Amino acid sequence: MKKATIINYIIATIRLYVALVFILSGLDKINDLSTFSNAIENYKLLPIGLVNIFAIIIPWIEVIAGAMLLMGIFIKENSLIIFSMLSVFTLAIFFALLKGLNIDCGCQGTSQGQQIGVFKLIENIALMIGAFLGIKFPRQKLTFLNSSRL
Amino acid sequence: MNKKIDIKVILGILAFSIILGVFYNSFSINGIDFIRKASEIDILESVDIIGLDDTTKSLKAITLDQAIILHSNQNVIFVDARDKWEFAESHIKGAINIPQYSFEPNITDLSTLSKDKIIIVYCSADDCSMSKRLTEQLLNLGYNKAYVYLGGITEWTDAQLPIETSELE
Repeated sequence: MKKATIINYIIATIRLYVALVFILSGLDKINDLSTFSNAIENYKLLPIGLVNIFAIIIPWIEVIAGAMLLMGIFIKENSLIIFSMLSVFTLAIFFALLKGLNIDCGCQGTSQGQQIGVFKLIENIALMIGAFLGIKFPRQKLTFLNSSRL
Repeated sequence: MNKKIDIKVILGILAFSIILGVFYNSFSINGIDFIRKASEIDILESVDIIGLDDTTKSLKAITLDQAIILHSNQNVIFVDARDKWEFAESHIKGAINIPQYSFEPNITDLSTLSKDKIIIVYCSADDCSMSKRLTEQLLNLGYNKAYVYLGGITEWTDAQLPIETSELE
């Protein structure tokens, strides 16, 4: 197998991993919107009136963008959506850490508590790199549809 | 050739997600209010909280002075509503931890609480809402003697009152 082909498969595998992380975390949040809205409020970044609106919408963006990315539909656009969301989440964790908050991050689902911290920041940055690869290399292997048309 | 990002596609995906989110929330049993409201709370004026026969389920708060008096009473339970990591780092001496974040009326272990005892719920400070929400939930479960200590661990620590740390469970 050519070196370029192997790299293409590696990039596609990273895309599938990022997509799965988003789908699963989104579904977990949808299953418990109340806990996710508590998690958002704990960051103390949003006016209280907007907390639930974000809690209702964010998980669905995660699931839809994740599912389309998994199937290889509009890879560039969905990667950009995921990259943007991860950027916001990472900044939120960063500011929470600066404020000295020691809260549950509400990042990848709500069923298992995850503390915010430097490890969480590194994990998010790794996912951002994965999403960035999707923006940079939208023509990929392992797609449901022919990505050259999308 | 490198494909350009289609903004219309992104807007379409976002619009579709918003519609699905609103639709699901309107019809799901897990649905939440679209607009979250801050809990309204009154400061309890009576100093004699122990003797208070209060069956109203409205949210009431106590001050630092009242909290100090209650802290030495055996019939009072202090409940820390913050996450387990914050609780392990520092909490009011003798307090127990019931994180509001993951509170589920039918799942959370409430065996350490008693409906006959006074329950004082606190979190970080008066700008955190976890203590108010947990108190509301306890009142709804019939813990009629649950009150909020608004100053929280910040005011308590600033006043150099007894605190302790614990192992993370």
